[in-house]
Amino acid sequence: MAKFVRVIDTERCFGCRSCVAACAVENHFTPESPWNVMVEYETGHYPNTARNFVTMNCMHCEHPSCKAACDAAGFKAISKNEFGVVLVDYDKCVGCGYCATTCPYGVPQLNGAKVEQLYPGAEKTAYEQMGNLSPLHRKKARTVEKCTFCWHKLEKAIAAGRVNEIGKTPDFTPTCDLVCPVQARLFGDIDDPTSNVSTYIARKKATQLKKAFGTMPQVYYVLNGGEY
Amino acid sequence: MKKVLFLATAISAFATVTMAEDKPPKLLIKAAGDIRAGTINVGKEYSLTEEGRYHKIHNEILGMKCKGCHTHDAYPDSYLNLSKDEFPKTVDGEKTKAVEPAKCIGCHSEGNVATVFYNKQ
Repeated sequence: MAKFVRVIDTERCFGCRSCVAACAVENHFTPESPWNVMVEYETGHYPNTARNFVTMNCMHCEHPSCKAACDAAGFKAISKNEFGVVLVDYDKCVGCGYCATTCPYGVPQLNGAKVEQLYPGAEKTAYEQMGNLSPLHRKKARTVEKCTFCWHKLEKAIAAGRVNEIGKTPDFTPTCDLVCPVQARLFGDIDDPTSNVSTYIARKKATQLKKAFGTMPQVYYVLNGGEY
Repeated sequence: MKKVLFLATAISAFATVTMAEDKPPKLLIKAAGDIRAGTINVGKEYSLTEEGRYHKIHNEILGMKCKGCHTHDAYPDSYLNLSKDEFPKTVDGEKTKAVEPAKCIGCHSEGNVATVFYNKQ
């Protein structure tokens, strides 16, 4: 069975935010509930300074604390499937926000009473007017949403028996990973030792963020300043 | 009500000791068990509002003060958290400061008193 992970190389990323824009378009995320953000900060002291860019999305943890909190509350709205993808069932979510408070990465986004469109006050974008491409694209008030690893694309590959093309063929690869102009993002199967992600993680010593929480995230980072 | 007040005061007094000891005090273990068993009534509203279970458990029953968790006006620039730009939020006209999730690890890790969210074996 394949297990999908993402690798983000912050040594290559120069903060263009193409991945953020691509995610907003692909998944119609609203400004109030972002699925992918760029954290930008400076390190060092003049004259030895550096600008750092770290994009953050769902870490699809091996032991997701969001799921543990949701299960403990009895709603069981969050699941982790056999491919390692953590998903929210919008029909079961009651919007309690427990997942948002337990996630060490601040990922789950709790919608308010009114869901705004991508550009509030303006006409809906052509993409929004197309309607829902998948149940995960529905926007629901008082419901939590987050990055799905573009599950609507991955499940197409699985249904077509083309799992080996995930991370390689554009139709079967998360959109944020496709658009990076400097190849700072990779997506693939970590269970395959010869895959692009496995070799990159080993070669560049990629690591996970906030390992102290023990949630075992499935997004790996090549970091400038060591472990965070 | 008296039982709850007594628990809150007693647990609050033990809180400092908890930080220094390896094992959580018996009273804290009992309170956590009673909350889970439903012996202590914390209501049925699953929400992050002040009236909801979340704040009732941490604030009213366990006696944790607001300032104990809501410590940051804003996260530092280098803090890697997707939602860090949300803070300070305004709830009911008051600014709500951010909570650093690291504060939750102690109680919510495997082998401690609270429901396990982190460091599952």
